[in-house]
Amino acid sequence: MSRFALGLGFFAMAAAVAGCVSSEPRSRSRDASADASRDAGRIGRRDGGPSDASYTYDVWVDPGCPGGPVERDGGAVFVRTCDPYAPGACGPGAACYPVVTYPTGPCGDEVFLTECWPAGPGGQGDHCVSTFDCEHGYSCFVTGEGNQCLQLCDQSGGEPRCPRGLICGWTDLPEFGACN
Amino acid sequence: MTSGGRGASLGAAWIAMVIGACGARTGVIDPDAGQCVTDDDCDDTRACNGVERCVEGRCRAGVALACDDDDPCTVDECVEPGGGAGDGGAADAGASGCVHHVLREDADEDGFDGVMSDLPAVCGDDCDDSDPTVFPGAPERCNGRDDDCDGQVDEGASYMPEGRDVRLTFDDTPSSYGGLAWNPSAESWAATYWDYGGGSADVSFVELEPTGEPRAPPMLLTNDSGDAFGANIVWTGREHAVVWQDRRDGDYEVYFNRLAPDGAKLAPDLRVTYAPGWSINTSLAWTGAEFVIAWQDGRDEVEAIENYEIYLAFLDRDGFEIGDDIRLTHDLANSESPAIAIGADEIGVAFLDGRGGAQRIWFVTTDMQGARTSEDLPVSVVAGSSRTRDPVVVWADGAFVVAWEQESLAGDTDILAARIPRAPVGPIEGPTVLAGGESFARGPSLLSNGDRLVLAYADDRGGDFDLWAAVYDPGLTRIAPDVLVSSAPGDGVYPFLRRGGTAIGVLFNDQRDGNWEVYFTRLLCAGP
Repeated sequence: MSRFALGLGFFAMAAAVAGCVSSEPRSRSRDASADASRDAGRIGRRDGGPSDASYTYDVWVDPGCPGGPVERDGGAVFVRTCDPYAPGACGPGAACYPVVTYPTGPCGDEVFLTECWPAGPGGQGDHCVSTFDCEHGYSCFVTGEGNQCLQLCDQSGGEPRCPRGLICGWTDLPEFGACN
Repeated sequence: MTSGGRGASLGAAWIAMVIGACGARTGVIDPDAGQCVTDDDCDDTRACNGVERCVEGRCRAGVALACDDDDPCTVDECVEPGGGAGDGGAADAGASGCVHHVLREDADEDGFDGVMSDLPAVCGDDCDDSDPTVFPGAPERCNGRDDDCDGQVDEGASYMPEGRDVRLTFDDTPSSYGGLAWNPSAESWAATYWDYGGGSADVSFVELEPTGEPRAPPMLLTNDSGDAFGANIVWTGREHAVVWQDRRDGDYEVYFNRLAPDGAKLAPDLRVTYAPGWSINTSLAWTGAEFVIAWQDGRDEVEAIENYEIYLAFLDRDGFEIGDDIRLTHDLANSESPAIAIGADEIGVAFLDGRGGAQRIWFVTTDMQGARTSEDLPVSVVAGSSRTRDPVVVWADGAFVVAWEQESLAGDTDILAARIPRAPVGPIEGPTVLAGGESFARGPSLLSNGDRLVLAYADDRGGDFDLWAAVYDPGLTRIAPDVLVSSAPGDGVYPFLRRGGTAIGVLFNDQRDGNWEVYFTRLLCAGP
């Protein structure tokens, strides 16, 4: 299954082959920070500030991943073998798709790829199950209004642009927007 | 009295008792044994239980004093002489021993007694007995408060944009807001947003001055390699709460946490969902006692055939889940993009649904525990191949009002809305086109003032998408012309409205700097 997410805020790409993740049911737990690669966090205290100095908050200091966000810049890896924006990038009958390999744990690497695959038929707004259902220059997104093939676009304002009425919206592909 | 049967038997028993009592009279009175000669022998010196009488040599209890003064605003009791009236408030002690504790209080001395919980309104109707400028009939000022105690805020108000947009995000990767809340204690806004600053998408919190200028540096709420998006935020009166979608565990799941006013977490992140399939597009509300989260969930997909359904979860004020996730929709088509609002005694949920082969807006209500109180109600009307999306909902004047974006027959997009009366229940009113026309209008946000609705949306009538606002009465009739909220080269979209103090805060996404960034601006009260 290959979909990405998209919505107000974001569209998620339906997971591509390389990134297909199966999620298993888990027993309920109230502590989501229980992961071997993460510090367990610690408790601190903080008052309500000048507006409400009488109230004290027990705050949770969440350490996040080792190294913090700066070192984690390398946590997103980009490997491009083709250009989804370039017509004919993969030759006749093939399309260049963004593909994601998701990390196996909270602090693993997220790897973004572009790869050539046989092209699908889906154009703007067409229903899709996998991103490979879409034609070159498009990917399959969970839009919050059904899963749709959407045209990939440059969020920095470059080409390709979106038709009137659409914006180049947010996706969970950091280098690609989608017309919606 | 009859002389036979059951009556005769009772009469015999009564006679025997009296004879027995009189036969005991020997000239020595024993009041403790209930024997008496006069009423004085029976007086227990307590007034509240009535006057004891001596009847046929035996003391008989009196009838307790009735102290109810038929005034619902007093607590009535009988006190014994010398016993005092207690401390229940002003009291007038009469000769009878009855005391009436008056519960009315005019703490701010504005001539109106304050509203007392658990008492009828007649006992006090000053909705803020700490402020002498607030009382029934007071002039309604444009201050974000209900000055005249009619349950509505700033009725009659009009709003004008301040004209100054504050940029909140500054990296060179796309950013998008999550939500906006107002902390009246600190007089500060709290905005959430996500961006790719750390390589993957992470959610941040920033506290803002009333003008939108950051009060402190942003705080990262997530810091994992898996993407985190969303971050709806609400203020509970003591703290903020946020909910977002996060794939730190390999699949998008719903996460929740509570925050101190400055954004510090009050607990480890709570993973709300654990089922297979994505749990995304969250919506969060605070009922005054509990948190309600709605989202679309793919756990009911069968053999990878997409089937998102709407789910609800309830959390107590400490962030602990109450019961299991509640599946709200059950059709075989996708149910997506839920938006929730709290009504008088119901929760309203608007969502997109493709049942019947047509994508349209639906609506359902539940009680405060998540049990349905209505059927699924189709709200939008399918016309041609028109697409609908981005539903929002507010509670206004006894009805839920749902607005959404819909493709018109001309091929552009409009903002439509409908009323779903619930107090009392009535048929759906609408849909009504609120904005659109020849241009593309998209991404609505609604704010209820009680007597009017403020709508904000993006419209490309000027070329790029700019932000506009308009005011409507509860019947969805426009009562003030559109005002341009924000305009700059590049698109500005998805305005999000929240009231804060005397202003309405507007959080939005804008491309004016060549990249999607989050901005804040305000609508200021222009009267009355």
